[in-house]
Amino acid sequence: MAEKSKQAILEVENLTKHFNAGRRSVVHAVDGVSFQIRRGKTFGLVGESGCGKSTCARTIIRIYDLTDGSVILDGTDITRMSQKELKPLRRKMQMIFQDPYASLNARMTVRDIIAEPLIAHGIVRRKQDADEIVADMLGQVGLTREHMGRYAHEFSGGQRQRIGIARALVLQPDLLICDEPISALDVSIQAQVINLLRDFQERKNLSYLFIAHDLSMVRYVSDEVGVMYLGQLVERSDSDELYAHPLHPYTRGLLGSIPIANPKEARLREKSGIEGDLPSPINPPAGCRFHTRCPFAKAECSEELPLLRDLGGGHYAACHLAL
Amino acid sequence: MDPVISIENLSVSFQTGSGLVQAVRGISYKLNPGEILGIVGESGSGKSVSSMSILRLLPDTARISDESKIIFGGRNLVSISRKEMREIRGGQIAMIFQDPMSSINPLIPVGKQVGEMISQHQHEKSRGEIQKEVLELFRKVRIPEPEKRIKCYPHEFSGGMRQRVMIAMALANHPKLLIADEPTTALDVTIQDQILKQLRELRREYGTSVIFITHDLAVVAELCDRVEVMYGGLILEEAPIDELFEHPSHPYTMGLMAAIPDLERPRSLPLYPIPGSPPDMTNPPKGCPFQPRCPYARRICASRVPDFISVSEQHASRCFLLDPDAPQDEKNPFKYRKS
Repeated sequence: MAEKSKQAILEVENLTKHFNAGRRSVVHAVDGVSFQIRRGKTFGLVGESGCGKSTCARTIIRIYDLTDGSVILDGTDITRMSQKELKPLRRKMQMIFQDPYASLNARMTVRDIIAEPLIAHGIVRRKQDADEIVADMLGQVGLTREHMGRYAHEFSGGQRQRIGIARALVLQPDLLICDEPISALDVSIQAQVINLLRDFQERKNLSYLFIAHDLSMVRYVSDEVGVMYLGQLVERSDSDELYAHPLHPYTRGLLGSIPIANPKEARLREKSGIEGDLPSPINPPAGCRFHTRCPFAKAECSEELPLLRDLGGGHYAACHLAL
Repeated sequence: MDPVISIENLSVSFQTGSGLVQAVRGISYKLNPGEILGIVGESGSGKSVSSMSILRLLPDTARISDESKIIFGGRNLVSISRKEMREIRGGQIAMIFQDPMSSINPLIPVGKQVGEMISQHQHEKSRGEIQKEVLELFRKVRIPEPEKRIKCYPHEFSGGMRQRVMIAMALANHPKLLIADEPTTALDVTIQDQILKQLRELRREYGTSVIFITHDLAVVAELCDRVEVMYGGLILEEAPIDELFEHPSHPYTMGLMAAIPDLERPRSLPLYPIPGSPPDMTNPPKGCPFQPRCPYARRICASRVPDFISVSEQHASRCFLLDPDAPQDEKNPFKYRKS
């Protein structure tokens, strides 16, 4: 374990989060998810809305308490820590959000937004002392010192996301959790933010947990990718390998649904999408949770839950039929 | 072949607290029968406003200029009465939106709402006939167990299913023209794929012409026959779909294509973002609206809006650099086209 910790910045083991939904019904938002994030690398998490990917992130950062499982951050088990014990560790793990409009306080200037974490963590005593750090941070995200006195509404969506990144990175964390960081942005701006994140990763050896529903973007930014379906990880592998040789029928269907920006290819391709909708996570299907939509499902699939197993070279899939 | 609709010199502006927003600045295009036309653009490009103008679904602060014409069925929709417009809306022209809940009443069972669409426009139909047609529509848009589902309320449906209800509602009166405004943007990729298939099938079956508004070039590639690329309230390029992807002929279109990762791009290559941000339409840039962000911009680009230059028969672009007299130097991306 000690050996492993040297490499992994984050180890998530059997992460489980259930919510009570009244009348003794339980939402199985996340059920037994395990993965590691290597230092300086990006782990991408994909899946349809409601699959539990955001809950996963929020449980890791302890916005929610775990129902079961463990989270080890940089060798320290933070699973049962109180919020007070957790506080010094939060410097190591920061988060950026999807909505750059909702995640910045409209009544604070950019200076105050970026200085706040510095004060909260006792790095500077007064706001004024933070000015140099804030100005430097703004420079690093492609804004300028002149922006310090302005309010969030004076910026475009892409610039606001840059402010969110500056706020998260001013504490010099080791791990940044990115929950759909570009889905609210225009196409021409998305690439700006992605290149900025890549640049930080190279310079600071940052690790990312990158959550998105844009599968092409996830492949592009991630070293490893995990595919979630109804609260469970159904496949996990090196990014290029996963996209080139998807093993789980769900992953295949998901990749087969991506529109391709090439009309001739799009016409030729035999599209292999997925029929039907995501079932409710309140009473998830027995056995393999995907069996209700799986074109290959056999009797055993509705009876026994397939476990995530290594099918060669660190490519894991949870399917009875995958070889 | 007469076009289903033709938009001529459409301009729309809004009076806002921070000044006059020139959302659409004189655009013209035609839609042929049975065609799916994509209108691509980012937020603020004017793509939604221009399509909302067709059905006059604009806020009171909007003003359509006097020179604007929207010719449909021999009439200019800009100048018809409110009553005439009400008859066209949901009848000959129907619209679907990104958020189905914006057009579905949460308090009325979905089957009844679709039925109301029919009775509004086809008064002669009996209740029994309408009921039968609603079931048929639900089947057509592939809502499972339609007999059961017509009695359900919207909240009992998933996002994808609500989108199907909205499509059923739009098709209720066999419209000649369907306007789809980002109908798959809020959906998961698996559901988006199902809805795109659905739209292709409906076009095949009914021959409905579609204006499909989106920010997603890949969706356009999958669905559309022809494309108008909008930016800063103007159409900057128009082309048949294959032409657009093979020979993008405006630096903005080229920029958009370079900024999206496709599944084949090696991960070691950086993405090529378009620098800067989209223009502020209370004070649009002089000349070509893309000029402040364009890597190839020269002095002339800020002098006036470039006219369309024809690239091939149906393909045209507003870029000075396509002019045969433009300098064929390193900073002309179209240099290689000349031989």
